[in-house]
Amino acid sequence: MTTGTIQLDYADMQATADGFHTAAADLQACLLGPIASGADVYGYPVLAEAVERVAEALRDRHTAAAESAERVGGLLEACLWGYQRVDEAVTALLEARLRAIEALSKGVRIVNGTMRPV
Amino acid sequence: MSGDPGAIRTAAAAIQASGDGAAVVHTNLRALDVESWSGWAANAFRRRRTAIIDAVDEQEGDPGKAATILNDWADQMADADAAIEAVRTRMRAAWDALIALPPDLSVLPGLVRDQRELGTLRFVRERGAIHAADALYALIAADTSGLVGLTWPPDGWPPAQSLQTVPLSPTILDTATFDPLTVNQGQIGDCYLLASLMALMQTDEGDQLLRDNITWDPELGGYWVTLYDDGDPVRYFVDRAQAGGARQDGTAGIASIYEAAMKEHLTFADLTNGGWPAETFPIITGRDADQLWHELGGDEAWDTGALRERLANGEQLVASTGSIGTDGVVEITASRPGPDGTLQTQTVDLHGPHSYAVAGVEPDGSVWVMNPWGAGNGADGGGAFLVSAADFNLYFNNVGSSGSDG
Repeated sequence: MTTGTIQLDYADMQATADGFHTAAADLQACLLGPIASGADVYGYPVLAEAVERVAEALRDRHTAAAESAERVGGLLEACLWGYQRVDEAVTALLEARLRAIEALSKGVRIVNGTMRPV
Repeated sequence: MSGDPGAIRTAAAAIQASGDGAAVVHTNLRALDVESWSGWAANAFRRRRTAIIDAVDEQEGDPGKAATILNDWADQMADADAAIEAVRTRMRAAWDALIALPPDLSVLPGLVRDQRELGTLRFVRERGAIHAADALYALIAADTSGLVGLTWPPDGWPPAQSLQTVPLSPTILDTATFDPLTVNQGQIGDCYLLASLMALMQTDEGDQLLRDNITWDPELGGYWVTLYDDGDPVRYFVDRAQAGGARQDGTAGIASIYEAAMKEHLTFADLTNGGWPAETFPIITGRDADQLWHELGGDEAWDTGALRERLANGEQLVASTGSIGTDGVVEITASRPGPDGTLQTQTVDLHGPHSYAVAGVEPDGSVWVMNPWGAGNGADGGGAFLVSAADFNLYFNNVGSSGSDG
């Protein structure tokens, strides 16, 4: 479909949306799980705390990236749905216009949306 | 000793695996073809995709760096523990010899040496843990992804520059230069400190004082720096310089050591937050200092004769500009010696608020100043330059003095 300067390829949009959903799922899959903790592992409380804080921050950042990728995928699908609805409406409009032209050519006229013989 | 190198390496591997997974996602996201899309929404979408890729990119890199930090620490811990165990073995053998009948007293000196070495090894081991913790915090504090509003700690993450450090060379005291014109401030907001150090570096007495307050500790691999708190000496151990901090001739030197000690004394937030030379001199010298104020735009001019007298009495001075210009900078016509030695006028930028070491005061009230931004800086090019008496009155509102023995 072509509207103005925007060219859309529904298959391409869906594939891209799927790509972002996959990226989000892949990121969730490699989220940092529980790791060793405690001063008895790292030698000193100061380092043990640093490791916990850093692991927590890495997880937060990781999750945020995954959620963002998921949202972009969802946004693309929403756009795709919207474009398809517009596409259907325009198609319906074009079909109605075509019917009207055909009807006129057969000697009918349209009053308030209703074809009447003339 | 507490700590388990094997468990640390396992944790490092888990963190590394998380980063490796992000690397795959990074590649997949980059492979999505959206370049043929056009229009406003396409541009917005491409920006969003780039932001996510950058975030994933960072997520890919930082776990790898964290894993390297932890693996290095595990190696360091294993080495330290092996060395500590070796010393303990020797000490146990020495004790056995001491409590034997008859006791072998010849082992006593070795036992004392080993006891001392044990303390050193423990200290070095603990410092290693602190440096590793700083490096880990720096990793997260440097996060620029903007994806997560990190809320820990409540006061916000410490600035990355406070945590990024580099080792100090053990030979600084042997090779150090005390030439004030070699000092370069770097990225930390401590012009007041560096200008004060530059002022002291102008005399042999000042050089000696700065040198006397630093001692190299070969066992601990760092410097003990004596600063003063209300005149009472306080010693700080320093083995790292700030990564973006003061340098001399491009390398970490005396100024870097003092900067690192001041960070311990003031905390980084206070160090980089600006300060007054008259409050800084006593911390470095242990002596009382003076402070003179001048109202910018006021009726009274600086008593530059009194400033000359202070310099003649052996005091060192630092002059500070107030808030000047619309964006903290004004252009002035200054003078400095040309190639033939005669004074030549030159346009320079004066910044404020900013501290400059005073190199001299002329009878006509003009003042020689040195910018701690160092040689080749974009404001004045470095080196001493002469500010006219009129401009000194217009822009400088504070002079700190080191006191009469400076």
